[in-house]
Amino acid sequence: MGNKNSNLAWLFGLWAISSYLVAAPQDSTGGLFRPLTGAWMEGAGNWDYALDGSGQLWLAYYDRDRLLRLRTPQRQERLLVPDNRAQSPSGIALAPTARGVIALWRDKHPDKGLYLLDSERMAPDRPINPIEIGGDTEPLARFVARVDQDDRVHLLWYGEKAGQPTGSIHNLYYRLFDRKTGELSPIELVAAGIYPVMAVDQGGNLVVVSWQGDVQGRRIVARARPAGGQFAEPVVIADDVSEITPVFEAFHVNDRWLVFWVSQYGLDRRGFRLEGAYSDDLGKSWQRLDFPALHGYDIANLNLADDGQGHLVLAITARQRTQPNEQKQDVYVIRSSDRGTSWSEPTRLRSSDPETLALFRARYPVVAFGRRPGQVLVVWEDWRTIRSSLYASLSNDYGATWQPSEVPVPREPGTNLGLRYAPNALYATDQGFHLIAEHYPDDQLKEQRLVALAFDETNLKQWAEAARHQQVKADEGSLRKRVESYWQAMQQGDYKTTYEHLDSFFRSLTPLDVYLSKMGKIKYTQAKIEGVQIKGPIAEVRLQVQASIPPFKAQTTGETIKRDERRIQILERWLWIDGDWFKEFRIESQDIAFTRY
Amino acid sequence: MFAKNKLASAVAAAIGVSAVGVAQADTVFFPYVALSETVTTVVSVINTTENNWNSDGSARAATHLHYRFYYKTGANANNLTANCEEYNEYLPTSRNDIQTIDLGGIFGANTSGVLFNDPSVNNQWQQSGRDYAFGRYLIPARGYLTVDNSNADPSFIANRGELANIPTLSGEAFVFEFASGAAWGYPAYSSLPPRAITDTLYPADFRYAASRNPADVAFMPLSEVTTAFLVTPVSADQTPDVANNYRARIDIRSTVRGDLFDRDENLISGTSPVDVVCVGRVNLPDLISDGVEARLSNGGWGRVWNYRLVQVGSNWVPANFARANQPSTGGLTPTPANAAAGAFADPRYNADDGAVVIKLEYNLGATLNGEAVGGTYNNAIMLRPDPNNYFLNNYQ
Repeated sequence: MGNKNSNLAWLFGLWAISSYLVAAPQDSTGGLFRPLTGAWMEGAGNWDYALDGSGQLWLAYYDRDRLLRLRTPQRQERLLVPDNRAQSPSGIALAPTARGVIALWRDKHPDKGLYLLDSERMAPDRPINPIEIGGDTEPLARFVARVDQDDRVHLLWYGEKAGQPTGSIHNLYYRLFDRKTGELSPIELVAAGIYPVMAVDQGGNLVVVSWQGDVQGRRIVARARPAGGQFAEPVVIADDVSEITPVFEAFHVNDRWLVFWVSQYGLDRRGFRLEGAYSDDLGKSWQRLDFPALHGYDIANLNLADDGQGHLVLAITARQRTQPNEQKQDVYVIRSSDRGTSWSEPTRLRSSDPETLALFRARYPVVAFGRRPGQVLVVWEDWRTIRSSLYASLSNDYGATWQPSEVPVPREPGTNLGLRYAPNALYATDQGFHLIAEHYPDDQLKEQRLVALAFDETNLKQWAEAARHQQVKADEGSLRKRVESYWQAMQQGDYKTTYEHLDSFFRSLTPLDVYLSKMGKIKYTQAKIEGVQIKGPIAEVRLQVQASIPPFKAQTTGETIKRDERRIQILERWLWIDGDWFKEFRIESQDIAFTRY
Repeated sequence: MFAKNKLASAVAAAIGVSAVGVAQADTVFFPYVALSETVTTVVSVINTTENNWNSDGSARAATHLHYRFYYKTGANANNLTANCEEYNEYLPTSRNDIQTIDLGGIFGANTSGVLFNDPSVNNQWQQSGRDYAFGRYLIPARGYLTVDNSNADPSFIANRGELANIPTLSGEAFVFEFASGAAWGYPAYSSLPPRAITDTLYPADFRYAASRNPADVAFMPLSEVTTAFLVTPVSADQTPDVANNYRARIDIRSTVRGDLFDRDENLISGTSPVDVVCVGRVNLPDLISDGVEARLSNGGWGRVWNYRLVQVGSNWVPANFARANQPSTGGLTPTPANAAAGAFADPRYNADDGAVVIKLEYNLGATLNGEAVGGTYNNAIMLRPDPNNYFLNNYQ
């Protein structure tokens, strides 16, 4: 269903005609969300956004054909790869300028390299003309771009050029692009490393931070570069970091340089720790940060918001993973009121019913301060309704308390709304908050498009109130009726009806004919509900059924298989999904469900 | 439910066979057996010798093979670090016989788990009244199976004129999810045969069968394909008495740190090792951090390590096998660091290959690359041993 645009485009040869497409899909989210992307994206498709100097939204994304597109505030889309070439571009980073963005991506045409496009130099009627900036560094698809107040673009990437003096194959490279003159500085080898992490202040001072996992000592180092100056010698931030995960971010807030990473301690590398450091002297000296309450918690992503007055809120996806079989992911916030010198204990934002909510994952929180002092909002992806929804909590005291909290953002039935681990796709304007979310039209979760939502505190309160009124009691009576209906159909061999009782995540991936081809081997003559236990939208149903396997020959072996009738007890899980109960389909042999919560 | 197994084990112990190590034999090793309500494992055992056992294993005879099933059952079936229990039986055979057995007893319910109209003439399996479906009462279970004969006596080889360098026991396995029709299989490992009648033999030595350490392994997209590793630690004695507590580690380290590559050659750090005792299934997400999983949606590749562990204090550390053949589980020593190797000084880089690793991958739903494929697929790849494995090339 999601390839409508691309199929039509192929049909009419649009790719060959123009690299322009106008984003004008129909809004199927009930009018609340504004569609942003003109083409369908893959479920995990990469994207980035930036707000230019006047607060206009620019967006870049890969469509399902792996064409890289740039969406302007005027809702026009432009292909960033000439000649309609799919596949070869990779990675995308946007950085705002006064009236546009700097876009950075890797490509191999006309030559393999790292390409920079200044949207303000992009003429609507001429081919784009990006600048290759990676030189001979063999750039890979991980890079950042930052623009300072003097229109200097600071570029950092990692490349795999061999024979560098660091002794490492992977190194970070820096280059400066002066938008006023169009000049590029020489490429500088900054440090060994695989994660290009950089923070830049408005004046153009910057700090590059690198984890050097393949050099002696394994450490995190920082190299500062004052505006207009040279890189200082590396300063070791941490010399005890043997292993880290890819969650590694740097920020410049309130004249302070902040860096966070997730270490893995211990022989089993399951001693996960969120750690960090800050510097007030442009990277000359660093103070380490530790979050002891999160020791052992694996962190999937983090986003930071600051109000410019020393208040910070860090939103993270975390779960304890000391053992391979783990908890569900959950959302936490940590706050600071002194620019990150000290931090609060982590607060679990899903606190309304911890026991039930522990059954459902929540992840990828985005966070932003509002325009009113102390106001901060967190929105996250939450699976407590079996489908993926967005939930929000608002604070008016810098994150100390949250009210309204756990507000469900309206979602069209049958669809899923999600977020990505990056970017931090929430921002505030004078009109309120603005969110960029991923909209999945069905439960396959294979295709999506980006949508925008604008709202304020009043909306949140309305949604919270509406949710209270609309809360449908997932009661035992309706569950029993559905279970009995399912098992009656099983006894009658009416597998079209049983199929309709199965969860939509299974049905979206398993066509009816495939399901029917596998049914009928087992005959049921009785089914009796022996017990029901409901916890939120999940119900465990104990049944006693009478079953037999009439003789049949196995297709592969020719063996005759049969089982005499016998009474067996089974335990089923039923799910309340968008207003009705459905049986969760499980591959029992491997304890695998199609649902994603 | 487990009464039969306990009784059978008790009987075996009472007649003194359970604790009898296999001093001289050829052995075939089926490194992975899965049994559940909807999955069974069908093994074919091919025996080409008359040098076998009698019905209680107390003397050499032509009539019986020794089956040893090491398993975890019930709640322990998914416990990676639980020990295996052993269950063993002497079951009929005959020279040049093939016996195909459903270890779960799903098929061949009326023929003791023996499949395909197997005549009970030379191999008098039916007359024996014994059950070949060892796992029938153990479901759900994971495990491995060995089958041995007495053929390894060099004098037998000389007397019978059999080819000295061809194993007398071999086999294949077929893991079958009959609910979905998905199936995969693998060839069993035969013990290395004697090359001369003067050879000293340790026929339960399957150190040579360990998968290459490390092995470069492809990962399909995590959102579409489930990837898991079936891990069975190997030893100089794959048939320990009563229980198996061999511990091995599986780890993804593609450079000198815990990392892997996405499909765009980007290196992503943040993997974690997992230990397995006796046999176990390790899902790929258990080997990577959440940060990696979020960034690896399209899959990629990684260098998968496997090595045995030995306990030093409270830690389990990488181990090497003793270079000589050993009939016991001994001989594991902590791997020395390579002081001259800089970043490669980590002892794990000197560890011997330590486990048979099978990569399992199957889809949820009916797609591959997002395109309809009309059903499920279930693929398994046994990661091959290193042709330079010391124990393949230096057995005595």
